[in-house]
Amino acid sequence: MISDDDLIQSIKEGREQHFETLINRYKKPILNFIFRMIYDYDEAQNLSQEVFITLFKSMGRYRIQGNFQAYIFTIAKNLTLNYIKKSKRIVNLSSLLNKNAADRYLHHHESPDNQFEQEIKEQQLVLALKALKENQRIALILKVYLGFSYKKIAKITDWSIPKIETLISRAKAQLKNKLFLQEKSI
Amino acid sequence: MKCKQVLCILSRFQDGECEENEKLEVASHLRQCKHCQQELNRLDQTLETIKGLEEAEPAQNFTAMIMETVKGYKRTPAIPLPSLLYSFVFILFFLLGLIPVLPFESGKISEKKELTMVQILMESQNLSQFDTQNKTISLFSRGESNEK
Repeated sequence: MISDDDLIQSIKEGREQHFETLINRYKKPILNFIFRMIYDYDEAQNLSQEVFITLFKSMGRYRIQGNFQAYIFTIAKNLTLNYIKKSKRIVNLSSLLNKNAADRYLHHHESPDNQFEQEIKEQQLVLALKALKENQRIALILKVYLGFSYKKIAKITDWSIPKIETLISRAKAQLKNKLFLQEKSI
Repeated sequence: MKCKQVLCILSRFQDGECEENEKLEVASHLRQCKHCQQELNRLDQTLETIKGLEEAEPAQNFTAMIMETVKGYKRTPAIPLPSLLYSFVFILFFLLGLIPVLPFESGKISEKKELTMVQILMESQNLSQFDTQNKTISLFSRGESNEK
């Protein structure tokens, strides 16, 4: 498999068809990172496409040093945070999310008992994930879903490793409490 | 290690980010302490549930749409365009600033200044009706012959 840096070098030299390979390699992790940050599928698709367009336009500035993953996820993180900032100005995001959850609850009320319980559990967890602070969510998603090391997360976010450790630890504790308190109540 | 210390670094331990000696100490504590073991189990279950949440799939035309969009784009050069423009303007102003001190320009200016001074002097002596340049030359030549 051609390395990311070799692909970039090739694109820089004018073989733009290699950009397609790069998109196919990263579209799913980028989409899921953004999706788990904003929980809006359509917006996540748009933002992910914007990530690749921004990447293409700024490729000249990327120095080939083997840290492409950090580079592309930094773009994704920045675009997502900008989007969240803008949406907060327009509409109160949390109220919208709670409304969506309530809609889903009503919708799933018709499903069989076991499935219903499982779905309720997942929905509660999604709500708990949404309730995390943005920084906690970024650190947790990068660690749990993408399996990045603290060092790589530090490169992407420009935070210190102790800060990342604290953010992840608190996020996990919050989710754990939500999950296990909820189990008791069910 | 005590429970309090272990619980503090349990998340880091779970993430595989502990130093080797730390890892051994935590593992040894976990073998003896049911409470901390249960805490780690709960953390594991939480992560498993999060990982099991639905994943988003990219739209079928995802790649094609991006490729279509970037066709018309030109990539940013290694040195960004604004920086190049600023450098060019800076060099232009620098060169323009040099013009007054260039030798050919200074010669012209001093010659002009000399002529104006002579005109003022001659006007003050009511000599302006004469041909100024010839008078100046003759004045200077008279001065030169006096010096001799």
